[in-house]
Amino acid sequence: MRKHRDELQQQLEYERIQQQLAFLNYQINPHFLMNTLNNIHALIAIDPEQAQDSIVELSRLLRYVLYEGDHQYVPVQREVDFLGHYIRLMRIRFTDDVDVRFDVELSQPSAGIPPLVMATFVENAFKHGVSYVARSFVDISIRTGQGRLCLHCRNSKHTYSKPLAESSGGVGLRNARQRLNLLFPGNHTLEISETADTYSVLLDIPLKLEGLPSSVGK
Amino acid sequence: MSLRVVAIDDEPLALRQLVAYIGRVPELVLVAQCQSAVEAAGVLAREDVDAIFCDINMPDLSGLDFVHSLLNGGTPHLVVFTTAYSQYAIEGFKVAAVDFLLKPYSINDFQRAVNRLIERKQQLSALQEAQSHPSADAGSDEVFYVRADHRTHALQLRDIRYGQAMGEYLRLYVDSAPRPLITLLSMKRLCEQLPPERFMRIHRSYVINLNKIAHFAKGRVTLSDGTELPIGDSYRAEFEERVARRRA
Repeated sequence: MRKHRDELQQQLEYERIQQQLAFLNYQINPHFLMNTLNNIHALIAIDPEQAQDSIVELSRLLRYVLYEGDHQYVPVQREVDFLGHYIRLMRIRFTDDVDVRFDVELSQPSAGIPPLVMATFVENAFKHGVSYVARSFVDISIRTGQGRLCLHCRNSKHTYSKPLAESSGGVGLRNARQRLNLLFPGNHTLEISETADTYSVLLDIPLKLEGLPSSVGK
Repeated sequence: MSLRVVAIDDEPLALRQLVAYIGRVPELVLVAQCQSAVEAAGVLAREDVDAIFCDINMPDLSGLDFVHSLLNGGTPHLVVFTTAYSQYAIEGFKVAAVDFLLKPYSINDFQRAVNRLIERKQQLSALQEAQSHPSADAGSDEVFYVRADHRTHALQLRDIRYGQAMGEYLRLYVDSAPRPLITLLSMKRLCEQLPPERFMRIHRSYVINLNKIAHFAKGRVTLSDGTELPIGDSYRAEFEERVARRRA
């Protein structure tokens, strides 16, 4: 009887966390989508080939978010591919005065992570780091090793940048933080630091090395 | 009719698309294309500009300030906003803009916005004309132009019963229309435009046609159509003085 009740309690707790997680899942920013479509719309007249490439990038990005965004785990490589699509789509929106680096070294590309776990940080780096008129940079590096994934995301800050808490980016960040607390309680690091002209996020989470669905490695 | 316009968008491709559309509409003359609000403010200060196309989502604060200054009527220019926000999100900006273009927009959407700009400019010129030559012909000072329901109404002054302020809008009650005309005009501007010898402000929210008064008593005035309106404390003395003068 006692044991049964404990099991029930655990089950309820598990369901509660799953519900919270579903609520905290990353959702694609409609504003990003509309602005990207607007830029592709312009590209169709200016550079049809690049317009076609961009539609392919966008399709792949959407396919990932729509079909894999609710999986429990995805291979790290899939998430990195997604970030690549996102970055290339952002790239068409500004001039060459924005220096974007995307540096990836995966020793365990098929190890699992929760989908879209890095998306909010990369999105914020562009949202707050890119100036369309002054020189700016976004510097993203992703490494795996010893059963862990490490994301380091740095971006330039501009005089007009609002403190994150005041902008809508604050909500995304808060959700991401809560989600990490539920997914990896006591087993992750999220360090956010700022200097006068740089904003920096360091994320370290464990990789899931076994028991991944069969799609891994495809 | 030609319109001198400035295009503002921080995203180079978006700006290029906007400029391409402007080039396809013969009525539009592109004065400048700007990647920031600061740049645009400089152009607006120097050049003769009728209208601006402006992206709402420019990331820097100066851009937002710029938009706010536009919204608060700090600009004589007509404004069309371009944005990737949803219709819902821009609801609050609606009052101040001639039109909104939701990105991505087609040439037809763009043409619709241009048509509205042209209508608005014609209306403004008519107003200015009426104001600068009040007695150019005998009838002109009898007509009051007002913009409502996407058209410009030419109202006979004698038909105007009263106006009621509703925030940035006004309700204008006229004999020639079954329902009040709702127009984007402040009470202050309306009072400036109506001939003071025939119209009077009697309350923070009301201006009346003095020829439409049926009777008045104890801080209230009743118009010939039966409408009863309050007389504000600060307007009472002037009201009594003026009505007395007319009576004499």
